[in-house]
Amino acid sequence: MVQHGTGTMRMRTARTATAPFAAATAPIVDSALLRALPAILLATGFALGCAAPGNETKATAAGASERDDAGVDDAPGKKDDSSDDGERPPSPTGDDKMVVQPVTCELGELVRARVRRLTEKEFNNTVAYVFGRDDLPKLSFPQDPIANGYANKSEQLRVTGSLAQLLWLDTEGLADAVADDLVKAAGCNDGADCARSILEPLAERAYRGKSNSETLDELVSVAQDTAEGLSFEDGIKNALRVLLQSSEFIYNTELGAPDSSAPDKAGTGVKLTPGEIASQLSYLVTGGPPDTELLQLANDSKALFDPDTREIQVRRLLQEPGARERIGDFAEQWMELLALPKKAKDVQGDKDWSKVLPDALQEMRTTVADAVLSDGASLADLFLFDRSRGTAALAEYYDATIEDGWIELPEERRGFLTLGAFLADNGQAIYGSPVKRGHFVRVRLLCQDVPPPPADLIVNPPAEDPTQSARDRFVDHSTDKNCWGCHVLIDPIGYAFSNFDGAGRRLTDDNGHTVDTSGDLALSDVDGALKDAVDLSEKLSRSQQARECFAGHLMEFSAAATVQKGSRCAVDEVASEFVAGKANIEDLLVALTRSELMTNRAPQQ
Amino acid sequence: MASIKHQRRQFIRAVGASATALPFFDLLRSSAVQGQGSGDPLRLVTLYTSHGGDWIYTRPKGVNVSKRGVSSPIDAESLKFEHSVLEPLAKHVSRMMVLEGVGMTEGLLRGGGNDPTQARTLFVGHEHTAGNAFTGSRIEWQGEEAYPLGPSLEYELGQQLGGDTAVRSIQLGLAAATHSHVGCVSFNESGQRLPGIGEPRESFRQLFGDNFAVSEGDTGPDLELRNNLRVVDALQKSAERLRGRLAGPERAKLDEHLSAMADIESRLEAQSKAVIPISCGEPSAPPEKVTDFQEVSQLQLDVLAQALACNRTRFVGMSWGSSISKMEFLHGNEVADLHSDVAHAVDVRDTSDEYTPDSLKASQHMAQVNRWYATQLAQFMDRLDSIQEGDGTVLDNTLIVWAQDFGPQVHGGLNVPYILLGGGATQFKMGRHLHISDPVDPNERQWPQLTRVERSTPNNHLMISILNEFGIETDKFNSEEFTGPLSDLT
Repeated sequence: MVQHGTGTMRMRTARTATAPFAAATAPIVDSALLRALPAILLATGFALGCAAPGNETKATAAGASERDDAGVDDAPGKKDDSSDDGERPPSPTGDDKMVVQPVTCELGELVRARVRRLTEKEFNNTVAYVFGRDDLPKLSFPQDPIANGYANKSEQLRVTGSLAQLLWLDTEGLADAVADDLVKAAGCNDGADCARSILEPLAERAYRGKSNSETLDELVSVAQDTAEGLSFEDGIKNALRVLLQSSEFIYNTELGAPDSSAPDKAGTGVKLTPGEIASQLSYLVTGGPPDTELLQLANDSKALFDPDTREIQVRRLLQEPGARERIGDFAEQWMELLALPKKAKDVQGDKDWSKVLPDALQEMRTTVADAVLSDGASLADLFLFDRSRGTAALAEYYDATIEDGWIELPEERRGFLTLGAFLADNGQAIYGSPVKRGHFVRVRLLCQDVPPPPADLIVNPPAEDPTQSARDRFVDHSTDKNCWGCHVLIDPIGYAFSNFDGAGRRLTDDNGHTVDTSGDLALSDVDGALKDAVDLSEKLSRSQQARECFAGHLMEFSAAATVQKGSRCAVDEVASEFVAGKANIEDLLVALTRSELMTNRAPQQ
Repeated sequence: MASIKHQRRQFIRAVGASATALPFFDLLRSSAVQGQGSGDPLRLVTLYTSHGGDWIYTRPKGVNVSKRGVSSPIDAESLKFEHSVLEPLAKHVSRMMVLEGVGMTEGLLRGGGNDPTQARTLFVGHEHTAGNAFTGSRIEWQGEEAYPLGPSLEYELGQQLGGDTAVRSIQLGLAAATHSHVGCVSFNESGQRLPGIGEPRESFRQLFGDNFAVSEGDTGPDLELRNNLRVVDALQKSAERLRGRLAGPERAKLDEHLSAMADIESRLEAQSKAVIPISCGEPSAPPEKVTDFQEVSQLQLDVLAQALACNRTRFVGMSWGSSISKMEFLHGNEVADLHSDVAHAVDVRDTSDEYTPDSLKASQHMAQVNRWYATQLAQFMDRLDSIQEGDGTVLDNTLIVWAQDFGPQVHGGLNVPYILLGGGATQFKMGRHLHISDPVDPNERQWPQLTRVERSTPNNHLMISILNEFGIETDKFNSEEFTGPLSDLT
């Protein structure tokens, strides 16, 4: 069995290693050979290598072209740095570059002590909670960078010049919208005590355990200073502008107690404060700030260090509406769907993708969230579900029936890999893409690396020839030795999706050819010939590798940090039950929140 | 008690959704700095368009490419031929320099600084070219993400020289994927991405604020300013408290935050001291939630022209179009995906005689796309040229550098078209084509030709020249290897 993150699955690029495939001469897919390879690979210390470019012959491959649209890119020249040998890649710009996470197998050391800026959703949820109003205008942040599909990475979330300016302008509108009502409700409208009585409870909620006499005095002083020339209401308004833009509001800290995290104490591990743990749990599970119950627990110096207490809280928070949104966010980002709305699709014919795109995204989010939170789904269940949460328009798109908001999926669709969102995201404008789909399964679902095409290979996609079947267009990949070494790992998986076009529509005819969905899955723990995508999903539902990989992704999302792939070993212990197939996804999330990932940090750099 | 009349604008002057040009330009005849007697400011707009350039349709007619350093004058006639990319800019040909032979040389280093072989390659991904186009930097991979090692040109200039305007530098996306490494061309000093602002309305707000004032009168500190500064002060204290607990990259986050607050502070003070002069007109905000590719493009350029004229900023980085732009207005239903259907089907040769029918068609499609960009750019230049400034126009004091995603050949990082526009006030000699690589021997067309890397001119030299033009004395920009200016420009 191929193990993950143990050091034996170390990946090399074609440029630095000659992989075993280079020795194979038959330019065809030889499944038997492939299935025999894992043992050889493990013995030689290589994983998925490719044929090294042996000559300068011009060849065609779809490699880069297939994957270099927004959000997903593996182009020539890319360096594979998935080394897990404990060496840290050099950071060329020194301290002010990105956080390079340590490679560690300890969850508590996985992430360094840090500050994490709230995301747009977290900001808006926090505002709504602080003022107890869901009718306030929602701020729309400039888009944050996306890294590895995820939009919540701490190192990417910064207060740039444009975000600072946006906050400056828009928080004034928010303060305007609430100040007068707050003063009316207070029953007083003059003096420092009145200002304090209004601002104190707001600061308690807004600063999430970081409110103290210094921060409160400052707010009251701003209100007083402003009121000197203007009105009391104007004073409250200005104090609220400070409240909503202050660092206590904008950032979650994961630094531990002030005296334990000072820069001069760098070098020692950090224990988070109860308030920081409360915030982390709450934002992770609900996307919003800690509620009264959590904040009360945070007043106790020990309570939240107890995994059982955290589990009770997490299971409680999972019942909140915000939890559904969060699982939906995870599903969307795990599936790398953030760029999908921008992808161009052929709109000819009576089924127009652009009309069902929002429904299809929502389908993925809601179906996964429902399965995880209402049905206690395992990963296998996500691969196999036979109904989805959708709309009538989407049901029609699938030629399916719908009842009570549930689409009864037709027989060619089972599980998330056959939903429109995945298929369209991993398709070209018109045709389906065996390369993108196969690559996704290999890399995102099995956590195996596939090197980019060699640097001196010209990569042109096959022409969209209306007489060829989609599969025939990629025949070069199995006949050209420059392409075959890598594409043999990718395309045969993707062929199983040949009955879906680039917009996720079912194909009954492939440019006049019979639709052929046969494929092959090799170098996995569930190898075998594939009948179609449903068969692939069924195999993956039994894969321990897929469960390990998924656990790593949930950990990455939960940690909100870029983690070295080698660090996925850290998930081994906490996810052992899940990987063994005995736990559901909710339990995996709970296990992560019981771990030291929630309580400890490696020291700052 | 306020000593000036602050006209509060709720920026409600949105033009109708169907109108794409802002009416403001009809009124605008002189720039904000006109007549201030303090010397005209030089501005820089860097512009990056997605996909590649094809010299067959980009190179003006009759120019000499026989040897390195040869310069050929160009005129409107030399831009006139079928599928000519630059023909729409013919009116501005005297303010155009076409650079042939620029390489994204540092960006061609495989795997950036991590590569033990230190070898360069001819073909790279969009991350390497987008990251390099205006940084000249090698590209470093951090996990799945690619970053250059230093700042982009407009950001660097903004940090050094932009302090006297409301916004030091601004990054705009014109229907571009600037959140990701395939479309972002602007970076801070740590090489972190500065995603472009995509919505014209938001660009307007960033540049003008919500409550801009238009006044001729002198101004002094007023109550509103005092209260705003009180808020800023409280926010700075809060950020400094947190910064004191941080080290390394975490501290850098708060440094960036504090620097943004300092910009807001100086903007408030500048706004109070020098409100937007009547002479530059009354800025009008574009409509909200525009998503159409053409409309976004035009509105962004309109907002930008207003901002330059009103001296709200002097340094601009723009990324235009993405690798998945549809642009169906150019191609109808014939092209569903510009990236896959067109750009990758172009297999450009250095002479036109070796096109296959398919690649020729794709190449002409691509020329049509670039021609569209040129048309929009020409309109933008027309606008800048209609605004008086000193003895010339705003266009004279604005240098536009248009670079494309790739040079000839799919995913090729050499001989990328860099076209200088405007900039009459610089020392650069415009109105010509300048060939700055060794000539291409048609017999050497087989792949790979790594020696060709050495035969083209690294873009670092161009950027050093531009920095020097702005008065920054340096002989280095994001490369230890390629230093010194490009002497042929002046």
